Amino acid sequence: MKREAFVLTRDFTVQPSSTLRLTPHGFFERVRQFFRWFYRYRSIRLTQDGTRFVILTLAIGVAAINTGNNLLYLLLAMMLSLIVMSGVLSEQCLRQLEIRRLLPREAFANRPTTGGFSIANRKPRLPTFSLRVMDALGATTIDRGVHLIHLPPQAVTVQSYPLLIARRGLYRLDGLKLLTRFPFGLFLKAANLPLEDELVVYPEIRPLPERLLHDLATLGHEQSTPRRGPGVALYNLRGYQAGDESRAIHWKTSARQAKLMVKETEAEDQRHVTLALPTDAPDATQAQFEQAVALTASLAAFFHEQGYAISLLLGAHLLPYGSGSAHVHRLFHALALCQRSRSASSDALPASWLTLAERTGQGDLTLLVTSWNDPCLAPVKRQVSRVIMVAEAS
Amino acid sequence: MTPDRALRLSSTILASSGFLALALTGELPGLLLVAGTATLLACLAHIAPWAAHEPPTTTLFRLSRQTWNVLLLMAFAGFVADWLWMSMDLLPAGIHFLILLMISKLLTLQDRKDFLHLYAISLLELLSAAALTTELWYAAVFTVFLLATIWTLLLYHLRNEAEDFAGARPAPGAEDDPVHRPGPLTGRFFWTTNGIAAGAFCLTLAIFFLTPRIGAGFFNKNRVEQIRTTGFSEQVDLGTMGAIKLDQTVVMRVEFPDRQESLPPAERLYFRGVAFDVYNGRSWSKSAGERRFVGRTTEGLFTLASASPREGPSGLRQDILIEALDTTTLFGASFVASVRGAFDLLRTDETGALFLPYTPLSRFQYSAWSVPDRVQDDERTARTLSYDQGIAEQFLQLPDLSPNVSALAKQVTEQARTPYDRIVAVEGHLRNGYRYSLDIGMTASANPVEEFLFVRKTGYCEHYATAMVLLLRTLGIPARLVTGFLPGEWNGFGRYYTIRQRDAHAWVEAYFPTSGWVTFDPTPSVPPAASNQLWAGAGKVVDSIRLKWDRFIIQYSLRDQIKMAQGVRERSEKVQGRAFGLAATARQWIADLHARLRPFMPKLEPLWLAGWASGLAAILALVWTWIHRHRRSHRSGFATPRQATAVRLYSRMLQVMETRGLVKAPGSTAIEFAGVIARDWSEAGRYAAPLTELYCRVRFGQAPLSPEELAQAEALLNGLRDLTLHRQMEEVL
Repeated sequence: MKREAFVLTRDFTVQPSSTLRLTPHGFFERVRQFFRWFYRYRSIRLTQDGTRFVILTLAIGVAAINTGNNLLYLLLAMMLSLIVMSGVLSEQCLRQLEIRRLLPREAFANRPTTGGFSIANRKPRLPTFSLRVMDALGATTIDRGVHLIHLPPQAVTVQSYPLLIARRGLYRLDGLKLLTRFPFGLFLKAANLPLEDELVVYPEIRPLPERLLHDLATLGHEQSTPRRGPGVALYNLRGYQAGDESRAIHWKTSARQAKLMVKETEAEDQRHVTLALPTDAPDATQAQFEQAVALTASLAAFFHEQGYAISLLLGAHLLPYGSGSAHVHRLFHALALCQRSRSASSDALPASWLTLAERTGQGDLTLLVTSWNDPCLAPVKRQVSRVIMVAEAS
Repeated sequence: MTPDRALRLSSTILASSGFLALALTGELPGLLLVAGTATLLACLAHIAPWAAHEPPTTTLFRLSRQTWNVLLLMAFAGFVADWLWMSMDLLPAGIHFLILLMISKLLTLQDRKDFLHLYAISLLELLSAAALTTELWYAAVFTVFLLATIWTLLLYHLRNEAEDFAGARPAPGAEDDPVHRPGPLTGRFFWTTNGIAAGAFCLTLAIFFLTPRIGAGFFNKNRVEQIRTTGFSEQVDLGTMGAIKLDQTVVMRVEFPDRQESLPPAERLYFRGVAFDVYNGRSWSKSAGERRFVGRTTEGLFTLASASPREGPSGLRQDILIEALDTTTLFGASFVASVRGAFDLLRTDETGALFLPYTPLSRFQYSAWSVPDRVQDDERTARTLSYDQGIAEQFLQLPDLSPNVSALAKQVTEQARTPYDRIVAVEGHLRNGYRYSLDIGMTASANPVEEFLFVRKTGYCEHYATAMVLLLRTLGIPARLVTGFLPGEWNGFGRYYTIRQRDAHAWVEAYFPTSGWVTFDPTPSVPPAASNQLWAGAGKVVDSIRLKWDRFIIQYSLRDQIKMAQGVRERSEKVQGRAFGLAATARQWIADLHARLRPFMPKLEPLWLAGWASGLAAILALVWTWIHRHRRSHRSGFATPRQATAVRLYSRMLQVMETRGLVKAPGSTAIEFAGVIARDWSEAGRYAAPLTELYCRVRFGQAPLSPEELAQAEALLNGLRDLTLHRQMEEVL
């Protein structure tokens, strides 16, 4: 995949900040505030091994107190020092990491794509061990399976993971969660980092039914009229005339006929299609509405491949004709973010819908995709080239 | 070495240190000692770095899990039997069972839980050893245990992480990525781990000293073997002390914390134990066994009647670390006035001997303050002295003696005119007229003192002291025999006396009505036996460390913590006082300067001062920056920081190339390596070639570098990084 398929989103550097603001409410209040500030992004909990270790430490502590034996106090100090070292080293492990989230530029619902993290250890000498990187979405974390055992100092690694998003719309990620059990596996230390990202997930693109494809092909052919013009397909060969571009010379034919011949191309007469998707639907038809959105996106993808200029009438909004990848992505974007209106029906259609009859009259292909039998759309149905019910496509 | 082999090696070393701790206590039976040692050696040979095979896949000894379970059940049954009928004590039986468990785990070391069990067993072994010993070797074993623990836990954690990752079914090929599996142990990892261990060691000591000592001692069982002593019981047979005069066992170490510079002369130091007044011709005993409790002040100071408790302890202070002796007697330089120690009760008798209420079960420490004896001048010159009737009756007692003894006494003191002179004459006669020897034969004599005086004329301290007491008593001078210790050997490294069994001694105290009891020693001094100077010096160093170990680890107490806190407070007060003094001096200096500068700045005082201060700060900042830069460039060996930066950028370029598998061979030049990059990865060559050229100019040509060139080098490196990142992303996707 090309680099352009990715967008490098904001990055987050885990570093101790030097901008601490303390309010003068007494020494203890300052200390408390400092710790609250310092640990606002940290959490720590015991692992299973850590629980056993702490219980053993407590037992040794009780034995030391009961006996007054200083060698037991020495062992207790060793156990406590291991606990303290765990805290210090795990903190060191999570520091000075520079993490970038790599999200794809486009993603379709229910289509696997690839996300990733670029993780750089900016520590000059110390490596980072046992690091797990997760995405945070609200209160929940999503384990992407990104797990590093060892990242040397000043090293950078890119870790990818399969990304599958079930629903269209705005996919929002609130932050990152870094986890480590380094150095002894006694504690699971987590660093919660605010790193917000958004990804617009396009509707699912589904294969169109054969019958519908046949109908669409028939409707398309009725519109096409071959004529000369700029394009790719060969229209005619004729003799060279002054002013013709040298690039148009067809050298093989020229050699065969011993005179310069130029090729003429068939004009790619842009065929036009308007996809109409009403957004007014009762609450009970939410699932059908989602299918209608997916069908509309699938139709847009189909007509984009066929080289049509596509216009989208989405609720009251009309996206004008256009072609090319950028345009179809704009359509997908609109479809990704569209919402069903709450009103079950309305007596008056938006003014933009009145253009459908005019477009059909001009010979454009007009397709109405609807999720339910809206009586309000009865006059519109008579004015479009084809009405596609969701049930028909599914 | 692979991490798995390293984990097994460190785990075995951990188990070895636990086992060694138990073995050194001497509590292990021979069979378990041999079995444990053999198993550990076999494991080490199996895992050793030079072993050709890869150990992780195999255990040392293959038996089915069921068989092991049956064997463990049998071992447990053996433990119960051991506890109830053989050892009849939980600790020895538990230790035996621990060794069996350790052997079992070492032979079947495979799963995570096997490793965890082995670590727990090793810790319990060290714990058990802590209850059984206070010796110095524990420090060495503990240090090895701590180091092995850090290595083991770290490697165990990394192994688990790698296993968890492998179990998570990563993408094909991900297992080979170095970030997903611990690679071979590098030098950096080795030193980092040792650094962590050093940090943990320092932290352990800090926590140890700061943890409040609130030990209640409910279940304290000390199993230290008591040292058998002679001469401090209620009755002492003449000649018994000779048996211990060759014993090198250390019984006491004595420091003089208040007299580090001017130590008391060794020949005047007698660590007094018990005094005897009744001699029946063969043995000494005490006529009055009445003992009374010594009063104790709120500060824990026991003060004898001769000293004033209100004035606090005074006299020669001795800090005495005494081993667990089989006597309740406390020792101190003649004559002890006050005592402080970790005991609640102290008793004394009329001879001034000090007794604990119980026989100590472990080594302990106490402080004693002594007031030296001295004969007052009037009594030194008095022709006659009149004694109390009680004193005379008690300390002039004599057994049946031949008239020769009395005749000898009169003959020796013929020239002496005063009682003091007579005592000195008798002392001198014995010192000069008899030979010191421990080899006096085993023949039983009816009157050993008369045999010593008139027949053999050879003996040791008991004979000399007994003879002197009897001679003095025949002359009408009250005297008694005292047993205790001589100062022994001076340890110059630790600045203390090491007193051994062989330093046990008997001497004489003679009574003066006003001066009281005064020490006399008729035994001639015996030169110490010649020993190897090197060994003797090494022994003193080790003994000095042992004393520190006892003093600061084994005997460390709440009292020491309070003392330490007081010391910190006193020092902080001193520092605070000095800081205030310096501030006052600075204020004075500023005031003087201000007064001198006043004529030159009559109107703009605050502005002038602010200007001066700012100027001074700016100069200091400039100087600091210059020094910092100079040091940095000097460290890197380049004339300017820019040159050093260029070289650093080149080394980073090498690191970046290394991530893509392009490693500069040690023998290749920078230009050659740039050619390799251009050949293998032409896109990177566009960045690497100019960066290499820049590096060569600086590194080998010492060419100056402009800021623009440096910026260009940084841009090239960033470009190279971006290129590498994109290549990585392409590969990933």
